[in-house]
Amino acid sequence: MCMPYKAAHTEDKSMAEIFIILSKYLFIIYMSVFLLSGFIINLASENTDINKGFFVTVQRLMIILFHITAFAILLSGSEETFGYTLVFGCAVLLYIVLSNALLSKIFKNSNPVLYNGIFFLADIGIATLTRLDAALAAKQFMWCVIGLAVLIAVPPVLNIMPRLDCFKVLYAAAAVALLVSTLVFGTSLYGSTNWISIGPIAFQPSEVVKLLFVFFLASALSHEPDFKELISPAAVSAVIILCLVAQKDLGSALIFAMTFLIVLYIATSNLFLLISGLGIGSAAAFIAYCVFPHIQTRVNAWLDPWSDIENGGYQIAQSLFAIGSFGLTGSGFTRGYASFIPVVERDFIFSAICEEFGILFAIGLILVFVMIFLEGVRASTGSRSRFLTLLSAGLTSLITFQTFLIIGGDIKFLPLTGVTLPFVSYGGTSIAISFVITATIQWVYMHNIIYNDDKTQRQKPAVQQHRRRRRTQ
Amino acid sequence: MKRTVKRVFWIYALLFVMLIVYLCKVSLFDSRLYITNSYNPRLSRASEHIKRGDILDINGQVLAYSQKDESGTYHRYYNDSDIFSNITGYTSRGKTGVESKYNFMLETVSSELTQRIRDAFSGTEVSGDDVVLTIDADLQRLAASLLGTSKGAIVAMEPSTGRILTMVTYPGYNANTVDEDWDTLNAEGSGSPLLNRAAQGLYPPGSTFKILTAAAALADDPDYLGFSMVCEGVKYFNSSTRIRCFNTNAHGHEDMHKAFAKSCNTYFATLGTMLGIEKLNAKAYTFRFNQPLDFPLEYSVSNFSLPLDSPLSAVVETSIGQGKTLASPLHMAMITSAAANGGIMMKPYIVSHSLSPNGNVKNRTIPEKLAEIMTADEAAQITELMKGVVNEGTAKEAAFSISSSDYTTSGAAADASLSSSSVSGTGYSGYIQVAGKTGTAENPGGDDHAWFVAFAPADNPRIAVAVILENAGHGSKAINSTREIMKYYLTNCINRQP
Repeated sequence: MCMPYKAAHTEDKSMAEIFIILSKYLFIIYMSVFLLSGFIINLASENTDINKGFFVTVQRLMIILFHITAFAILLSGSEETFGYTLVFGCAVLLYIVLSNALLSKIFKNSNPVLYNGIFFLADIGIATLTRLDAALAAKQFMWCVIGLAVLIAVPPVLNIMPRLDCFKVLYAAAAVALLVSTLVFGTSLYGSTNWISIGPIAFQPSEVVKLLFVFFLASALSHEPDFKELISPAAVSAVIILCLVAQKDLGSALIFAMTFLIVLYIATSNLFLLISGLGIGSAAAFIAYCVFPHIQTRVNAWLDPWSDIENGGYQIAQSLFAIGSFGLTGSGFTRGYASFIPVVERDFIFSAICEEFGILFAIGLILVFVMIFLEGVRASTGSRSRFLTLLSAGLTSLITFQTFLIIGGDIKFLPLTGVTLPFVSYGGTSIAISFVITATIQWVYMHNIIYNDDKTQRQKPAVQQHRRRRRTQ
Repeated sequence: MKRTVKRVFWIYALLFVMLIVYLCKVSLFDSRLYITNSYNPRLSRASEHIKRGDILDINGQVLAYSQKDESGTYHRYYNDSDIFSNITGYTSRGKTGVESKYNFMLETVSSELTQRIRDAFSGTEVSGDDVVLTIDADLQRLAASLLGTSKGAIVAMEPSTGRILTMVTYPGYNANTVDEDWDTLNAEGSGSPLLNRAAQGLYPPGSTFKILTAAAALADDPDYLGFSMVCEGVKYFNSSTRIRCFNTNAHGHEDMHKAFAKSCNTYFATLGTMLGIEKLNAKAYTFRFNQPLDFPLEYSVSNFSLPLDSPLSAVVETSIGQGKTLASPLHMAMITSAAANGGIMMKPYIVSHSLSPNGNVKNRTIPEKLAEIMTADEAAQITELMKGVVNEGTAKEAAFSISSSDYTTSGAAADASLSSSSVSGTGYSGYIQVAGKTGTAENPGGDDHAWFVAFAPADNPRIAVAVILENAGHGSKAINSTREIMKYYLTNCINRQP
């Protein structure tokens, strides 16, 4: 006979269903309150009447509420793995609470919004991964714990390092050495030969090189450069980008090229350089399109995923199905079909979030990235040292462009480049390096507060000092 | 330098705004495209705890519905399934038809929270959205009764929108008993009842293909309209290539108008050889042979094959619709509609909208252009040629008038409950000019297939029909059926449209 629909369901099942539907709105509320608090904190930096601490606490509360709601849903759906999910959920909760307490204790002058932002993103990532593949979520959590250690360790280490801006040769040499060694010893994963395996651990040197690269650029351009002095950073950048192209890691190549141009533009304030750089970049991209068949596949899949939906267009079509099927509020957490997208945990985690949490939440997620970006800009503009300005601006630009690239790829705004969504996507090296980048930006931020100006300015954020200084100039 | 940093910030801010705008576009405006795409795994989702939505005709007649049995399990039932199953499809043994392609809508629970809470406290059923077809069930019943027990298919559509009004096929099957009948349905010699001949059946188009040959000639040079020759009933193109007109009738001196009206093979074969392989191929491509038709249900792509090195005999055969050309009735209805619609072929669609349990209209299909297959001028000339077929040619039986008495009797198969409300008396009356083209497709395996494609009224087309009757030879059943469908539609259905 006809399709059997099992209609006899228990009362608690239907209550769980109601909870999942309710949670769709709860998640959007958490996200809105989180962003609104971030906005108010930003206003607070110009208006001392607002109690900044209160809104920082509200943000933390939202992360915790998000976490509890998400794991309550995961628990209601897990029959055999109930115990494991419970323990895991509690461990992550403990991690978030402890991290916040620890970091605000250790770094009194740190920027709490930046920390809140990345922990919120990391928690959204872990919750989504738990739903997709619990084993990956556990690994991801392990990397987040390492990330916490990084957040604590990096600022003091950078503090005791003398003259970070003097080692440009070292940074460049290390970066190139890492990339060349990948070319020689590298293994292939996800279509790019950009992994190195040492025993059981596989890591992506290109992620580490990101850090070295920005350090290199910042130190190479830390003195007002004349035209001749631009040649060596350009040459090193070209070598690094070519190495990445040779590894078929186009996403990273694009990120590095863009980072180079942005840092160069900030260092020289020369719009002509930026525009001609973009022109050269576009020309290079076009040549690459003509030369490499795998780029052609990507671009064709972007232009028209439907005509070759079974092969080249499959991923992007599945991603669009996930994003487009359930509308503004999503299917409800755990009720989506994101596992049909290949490499969903890495390249397409944003699509999975769109599907289950809805488009409104996903827009919120993009705004969280914008918030983090804004804090990076503050650290950069607040710094007196040219090196630190370039360093924090470069790192911020790098992580922001990466976000733009992968979200744009997921929604078919751009051709797909398999880079990770910082803090959210599954990927050990990516998570670790994203945390190092945050820690470095945080260090610049704290450095500004300690070294800039007199004591009365200490508690005020950097942007205002900068504005004040400009007025006195 | 810091000003530059801020400038960079604004550039990035702009990029992210673009991302958000594009994301909204994808999720809100393109979503219809995604939720009916057959590669979307969400289509096959089956929620266990909800009542699947109904499938309704354009006037709200229920064609498929779900009901709980005593054990609380939902079953799917179909009304008049022999007539509608080629559209609704079935849900046992996998899903097909609307049940498959619009599964997402049928399983979408609108205002889910309210429905769930009501379910938890008062036990009302949580129900998916209803899917409303563009099909008029009464017209469908009439078409099915006209088709009777002849193998074949009838497709009727609205030329200006691509809305499918009727799509019947015979033999059909009963979706209520697909499981029990499975072996019989698939048995050798059963006549493939599971195949929706209207969209999936491919037939040689026969003389209806002369529409394409004529259009190719007119597009090449409008002077072809005045091209005339003498038909002797048979013509030798070379020693081995000979073409015969029907019954070796000599049509005598003729221009394109007369040749089209009389369906002269000699004339159009000559025209084809004058145009040549490349132009025929180009026109077949614009007419969307070998190309997707973007019909939402299962369909077959029509086939046109005339390689550049084809012998003369192939060119001659192809020009008059024999050869290797194969077309579906749906495709022929679309070509006819395009001729009626100033050359614009619309995307055919069969679902009008979905309906939430509290009556909200969702996902309304907006008519979309598929292709411009000829210019408005060419379409007007083709219309003139097709009028000639009805006025002085091979389809004189297609002509009809509507008198006021037709309104009160309201068609043979009209549903009694609906006919009372259907007549408002402001529809068409008097002589209706029909434009059409007959076709007889030679069938190597048996008697010839009979085709008729037509639209009416010719000056302001409201309905286009394509009929194929397998092995019907030269009878006028195809023409008569088309006339009755058009007459019924123009009399009883036009005013009833929502």
